[in-house]
Amino acid sequence: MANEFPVSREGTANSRHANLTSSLDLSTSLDHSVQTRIFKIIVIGDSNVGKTCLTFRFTGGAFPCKTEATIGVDFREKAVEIEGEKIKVQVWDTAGQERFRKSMVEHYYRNVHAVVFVYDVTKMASFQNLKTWIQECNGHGVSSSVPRVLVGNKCDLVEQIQVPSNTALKFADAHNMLLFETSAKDPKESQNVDSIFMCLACRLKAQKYLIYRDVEREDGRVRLKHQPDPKSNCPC
Amino acid sequence: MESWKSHVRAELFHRDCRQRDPFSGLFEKVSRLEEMLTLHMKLSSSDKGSSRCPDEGGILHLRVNELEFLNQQLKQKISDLTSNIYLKEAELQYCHSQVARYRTEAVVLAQGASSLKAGLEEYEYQLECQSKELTALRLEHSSLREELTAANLQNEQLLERWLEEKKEEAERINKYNATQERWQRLAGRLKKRHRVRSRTACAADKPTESKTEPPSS
Ligand SMILES: Nc1nc2c(ncn2[C@@H]2O[C@H](COP(=O)(O)OP(=O)(O)OP(=O)(O)O)[C@@H](O)[C@H]2O)c(=O)[nH]1
Ligand SMILES: [Mg+2]
Repeated sequence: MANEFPVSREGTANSRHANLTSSLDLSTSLDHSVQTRIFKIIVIGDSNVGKTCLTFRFTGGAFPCKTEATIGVDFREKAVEIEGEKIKVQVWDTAGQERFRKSMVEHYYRNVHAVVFVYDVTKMASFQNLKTWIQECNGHGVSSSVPRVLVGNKCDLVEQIQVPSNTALKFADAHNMLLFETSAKDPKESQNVDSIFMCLACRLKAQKYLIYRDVEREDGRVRLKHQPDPKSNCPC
Repeated sequence: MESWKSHVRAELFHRDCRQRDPFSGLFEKVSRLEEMLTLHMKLSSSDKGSSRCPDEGGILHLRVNELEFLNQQLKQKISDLTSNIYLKEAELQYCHSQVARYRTEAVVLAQGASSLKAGLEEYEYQLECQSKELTALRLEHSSLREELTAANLQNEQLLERWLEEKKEEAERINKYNATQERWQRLAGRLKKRHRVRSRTACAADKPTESKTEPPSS
């Protein structure tokens, strides 16, 4: 890959014009070679809360008519544009059932950029289990600077709601998370579902240097933590 | 306790044999003679008025009367026996009808028994068939169970393989992401350095150009 870069040597006065031309080339080729950035977002929560449906709603724009329990993980991607920059949102739809995820967990959390915790508003147990999911997330060294959001799914089942909004809101506040209450099924909520991921993508774009940090640490070098760009125009 | 009782009973039986049986005929004869005597007494008391002395005619007369009496008795006996015969005949008829009824009942019962027997045989046959079927089904069941176990095992293995592949895919994607990020960082740095350098080049260019360019005026 490095060959793609014509590294310019120190130019002499005579070759100044040539230098300028090659600089222009370099700039363009750099622009070309810098590919779309990828934001890895994992979706975590109990089995059957609707993780697959939510991610499918975001990436496929529809509610799947039939889903099976996810085995291991399913990868979904969506290209979005934020402030003129093309970004690939890579969604990891993880398995909720223990037997389908046991050997995979460390891979979920490796270099993750954002975490989406999902519960089912019609099932109190799925909300109560969030503590365990957060513990697992923290236990895998996910830094507190990694943005996290809480999503209460299946809001279309109004009659069966078990988790009151204010309880969820309190919980989200206590854990410094944004709360989204939505439905993967209800087409009217489609934009709301999109905004979960878009909001995260905006925040990630704003704190892009933070993302590099983890990778650098992997290289054995630790860089100082950068504060997110305060001038971000995130929609959320 | 019991032995003396049986002894007394045996003794009484012997006494009966010894003392009563030899005289049984006598008792009958005596009672008949007594009957005759009462008859004679009656006749003689009715003849008293004529004060006839008993002679040969009188004896004959007695004899005739005696015979008449006996005749009467026999007639009575005959009528008794006739009525008895009628009774017995009626009884017999009743018995016949009962017999006929029982016979038909017996026939019906025999038919029922034979049909039950046939049913039993049928059931025995069915039982045998079903037990054979059961054995076959049991065999099939056990083989299906074995198949199920094998399928479960295979399923488990497939799941393991699936998970393994997912794991590898996740590893690959993680690695790709990391490479991508590193590359972007590098490219970013290069771009920055390039920008700085081109700015420096521009800055260096400007005074040189103003020096070499001839004055406009
Ligand atoms: N009514 C309603 N049903 C939903 C909604 N989202 C998901 N479901 C249903 O919930 C069930 C589970 O959905 P999934 O998306 O497969 O659940 P999951 O969290 O991916 O489950 P695992 O893969 O086992 O972890 C399915 O039958 C969906 O049809 C929703 O918003 N409303
Ligand atoms: Mg799923």
